[in-house]
Amino acid sequence: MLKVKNLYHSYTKDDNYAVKGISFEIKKGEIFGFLGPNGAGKSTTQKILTGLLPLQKGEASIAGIDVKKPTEKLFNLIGVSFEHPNIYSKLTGYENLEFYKKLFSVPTEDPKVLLKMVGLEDAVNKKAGDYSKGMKQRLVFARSLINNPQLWFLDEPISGLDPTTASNIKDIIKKKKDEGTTIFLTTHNMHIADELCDRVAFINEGKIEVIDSPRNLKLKYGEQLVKVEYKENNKLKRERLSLINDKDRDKLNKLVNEGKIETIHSQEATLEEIFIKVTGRGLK
Amino acid sequence: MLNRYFALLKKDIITGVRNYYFVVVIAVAIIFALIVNFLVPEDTSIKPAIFYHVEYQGDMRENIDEIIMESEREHPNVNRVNSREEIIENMKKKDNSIGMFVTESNGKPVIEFITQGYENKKVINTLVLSMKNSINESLGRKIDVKTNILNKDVEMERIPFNKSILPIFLLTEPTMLGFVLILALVFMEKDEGTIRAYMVSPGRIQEYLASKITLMIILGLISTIVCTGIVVGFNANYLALFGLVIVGSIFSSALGLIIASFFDNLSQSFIWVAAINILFALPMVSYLLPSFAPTYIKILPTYPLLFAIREAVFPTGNVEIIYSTILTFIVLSIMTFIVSVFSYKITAARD
Repeated sequence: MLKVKNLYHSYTKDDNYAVKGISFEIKKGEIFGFLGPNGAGKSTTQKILTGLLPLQKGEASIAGIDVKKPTEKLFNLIGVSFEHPNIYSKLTGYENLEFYKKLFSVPTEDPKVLLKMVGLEDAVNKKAGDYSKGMKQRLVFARSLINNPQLWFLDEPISGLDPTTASNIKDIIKKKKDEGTTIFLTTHNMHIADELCDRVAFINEGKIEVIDSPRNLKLKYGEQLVKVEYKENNKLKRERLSLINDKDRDKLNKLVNEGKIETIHSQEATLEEIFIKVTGRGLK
Repeated sequence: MLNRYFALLKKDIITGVRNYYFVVVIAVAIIFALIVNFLVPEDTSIKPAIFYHVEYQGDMRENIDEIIMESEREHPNVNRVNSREEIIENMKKKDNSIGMFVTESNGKPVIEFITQGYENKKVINTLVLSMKNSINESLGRKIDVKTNILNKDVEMERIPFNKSILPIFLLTEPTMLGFVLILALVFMEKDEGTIRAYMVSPGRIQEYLASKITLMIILGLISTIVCTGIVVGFNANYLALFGLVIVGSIFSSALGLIIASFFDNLSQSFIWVAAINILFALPMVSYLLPSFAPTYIKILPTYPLLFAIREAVFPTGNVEIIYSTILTFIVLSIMTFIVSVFSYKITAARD
């Protein structure tokens, strides 16, 4: 669905590249997470792929259409949910979607259905300028679905949302994936990436450091440990035991057999820890 | 493409209504019309100076001298010069002046009045008539009187002063209104970031800009109808006036779009907006003081536009100025629109 090869971009049009020769492919129906800290090149890459920045060097195509020469057909295929809400404040939520709907020449969704889906059914006729930040973000999210995009660009889709709303948004993303939508998820939130993405790319200083599934990355970079809490001589003890080390494994078996364990947690690495390990810097 | 254009236009009209653009435009037009009709006097002119030379040496010379001397007593600005050429020279130096040259034809005196062309006709006619009557009365017979106008192209036909400022309003409000109003509209959308959302849709930049220009045309026409209707009623050539307001609006709005593409808010673009506004307002000086029309003012597009608007509001039959101005502005509008599209294509991503 999306092919990127040797993509470069320089804002100053010299050798000072914000994106340095990145390459990756996303298969149809896949959720691809683009993880990196601020200034890593995530937004630049997304802007190039959505036609907001010109493609200076390299190749990129969406469903076979060259991103360098974006056509009306390409824009009918994609949907973009921006991190910062960009809506017409003088129009109502409904009017915002109704206007946007008319820009497309492919079958579109009913604005009211979309507004209901993101929990804005009670604010359909309210001016978008009077929405709260979270409501505006949901409106932008809903707008990006108006043309039933085949490739859906999501930029920090749950940033700033309350847990219930964030959970609803994540459910919609999963549902869309199940329906075959390809999703390009840009974020520095490793939890959402871990939960939703089939594969993630770690981007740092304009370069992709690693691409793999969250599970493989954890297996490759994480340590196989369990953290246990158990009672011994009426005293609560905590210990981290390796699942590879024979001595630790024996001890864990003994604790299990004796029924002394009160809590037990697997201690695989988080994506953030792996990111730090790979790039030497944090995601924030 | 048309669907998108109409969707954009509907969105821009709703935005315009909710930002009170329509209310403000109609209110300003009504206020201006009321000021013109009830507060500005119809006649603000000062009696002009007279330069005269009497070449006639026949038997009525004494009577003519007597009449002129009488005028000199009543009117302090009557000046004797030595030739017709000197009359014209002095008139060119003094804007508010007329000339009188008395010559001879077949042994009879012939009086030629020379006017600038832009004087208040009522004053000139009264002056000429009174002198003509005095001469005829004194000589006891009719003599030939002819009137020569120096600046025929700026001749104003019986337009009261208060109504004569209507073309200035029509130039600054309905026609040039788009220049500033479109900036406000674009800067609001830049602040909202909505142009980025538009740029990732199939919508084209030409449609985006065309809908904004259309809104400015609609506002311009409403303002024109309200103000012109109240001030001159049905006496204007509305078809020509609408044509001029439409092409002028397209030009000024497209120019506003070019400026708006390079800045993010009004304060950043203020110097450019003020400079262009002042530059385009300069022809108003020539309108009010027709003798002051240097080349640098005449080459400004608003110069012919202002006089063409006047011709449309107060028709004198000089339709060429309307046609040529509309044609000029069609060319200018196409050029500025193309430039605005390119400047948006270059700068939109930055926004």
